[in-house]
Amino acid sequence: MQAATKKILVVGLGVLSVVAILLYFSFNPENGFLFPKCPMHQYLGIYCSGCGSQRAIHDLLHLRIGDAIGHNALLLPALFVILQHLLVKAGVLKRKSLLGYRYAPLVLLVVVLLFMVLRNLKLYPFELLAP
Amino acid sequence: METNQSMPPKPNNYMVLAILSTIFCCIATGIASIIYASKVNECYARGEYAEAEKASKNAKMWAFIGIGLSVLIWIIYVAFFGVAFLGALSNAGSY
Repeated sequence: MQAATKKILVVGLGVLSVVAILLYFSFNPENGFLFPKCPMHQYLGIYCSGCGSQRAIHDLLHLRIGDAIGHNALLLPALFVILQHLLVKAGVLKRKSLLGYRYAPLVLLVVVLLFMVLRNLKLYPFELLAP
Repeated sequence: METNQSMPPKPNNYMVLAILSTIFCCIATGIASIIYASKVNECYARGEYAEAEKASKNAKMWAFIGIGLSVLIWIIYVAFFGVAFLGALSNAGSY
């Protein structure tokens, strides 16, 4: 029962991811249509740490690395960390997962919160972090 | 780190889900999940296995709330704008 539920979940998420990748490749979220806007930004007017990640994914799928970093500087590092973790889990990489360290969650927490505060500042070097 | 012989392996702290939830959806649920992930590590390091396991369950719950919420918002949004979407598809022609 549990295994079956997990299988359905994995297959469902897989199908959903393929559809999402096709959509994010074909349409630019910049145009505002089809893709939901971040509720945090829409209703509170502040950028959260995830703001710009939809545009960054579109950029990445078109191999525009610079634009992706401009829209969300944390997306690429996050994907790298997740990929490294999955490769270690799969036994491809014979190293320790970056997420396996004791203080990994704490570091992540500080990075996410700091990023969120900095990208909302209307000061020169920091406003580059805004999406 | 010292390994305690009687200690079961560390419960999953669901960091990957927490990161995905933080980037793609909701900062609040993502942060909650990360905090519980941290708690899993800390409790386990102190040898409080039951506490670590409880934190692990919470980390998983918050990550799934975040991801579920974003998938839900997305599906509602797509359904809402489905008509416009289909119209654009039939007009687009060349992609």
